[in-house]
Amino acid sequence: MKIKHTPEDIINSLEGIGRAEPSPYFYTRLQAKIAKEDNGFVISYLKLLMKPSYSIAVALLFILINGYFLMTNVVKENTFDENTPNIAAEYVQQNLNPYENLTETP
Amino acid sequence: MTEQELIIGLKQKEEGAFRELVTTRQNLVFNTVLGFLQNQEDAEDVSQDVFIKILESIGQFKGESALSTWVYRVSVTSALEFLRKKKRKKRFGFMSPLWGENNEQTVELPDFHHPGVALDKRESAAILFKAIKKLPENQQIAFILNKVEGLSYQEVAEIMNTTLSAVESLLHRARTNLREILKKIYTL
Repeated sequence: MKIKHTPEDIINSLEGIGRAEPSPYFYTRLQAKIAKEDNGFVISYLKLLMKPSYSIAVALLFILINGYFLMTNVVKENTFDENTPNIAAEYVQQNLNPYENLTETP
Repeated sequence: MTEQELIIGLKQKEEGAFRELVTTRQNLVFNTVLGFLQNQEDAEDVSQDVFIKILESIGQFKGESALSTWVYRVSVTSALEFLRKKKRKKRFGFMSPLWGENNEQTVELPDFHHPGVALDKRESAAILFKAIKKLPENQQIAFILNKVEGLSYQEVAEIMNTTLSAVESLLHRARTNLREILKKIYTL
């Protein structure tokens, strides 16, 4: 592509550049944006949750947490506790004859 | 309203102070942001975000520099953040149909024409703006603040929190790189 400018011309093309200005009513639009952001927090949070990626991630997290608790409970139920027989024996001994007192003559 | 009164007013969340800040600095913010983004709509959006950020973080402003210097810093940071986000979006653009993002088409934007450039220089300025995008970030900052916003080397140094000689060196390297970029793009 042939062009008439030299690199120096191009580099110096910003000499005397004026300031760009935003379109009118910038402050009014800014105020509207601030108001929208204040009100829109909950809505944006809900919108975020409605996104498939987030809802799938939340569902996976829920399943993982449930799975973890289920697994730990199953393991606990199946665990043989060393103290269990002693406690059971003690319990049996203590409650060997629940009608013991009734057999005594007054 | 003096700068000190303005800062106090902003810290107390006075509406009058905020209005004063916006009306006196909106061109500064917009022009700086536009230099980086090269798109009027995006620049307006980011400029609004700059003022919201200023309002939210004015408590952190310690007054060690002038308010304008701080406003420039927030503007530059916000513009660069926006560009990084845009780049990330482009990189992961192929995933957007999967997750139901906006079905925006990524199209090559037309040449950017800065509204402050004289008519006879519009063409070469558009070429220059394209080349500026290819500069490393800190050279871009120094060049835009100096050439587009018309700040002195000293002011640029304060905004970039660096020395005068570092800014001189950044601008020198920027010019050298621009020359190289322009030579590569165009047969002159």
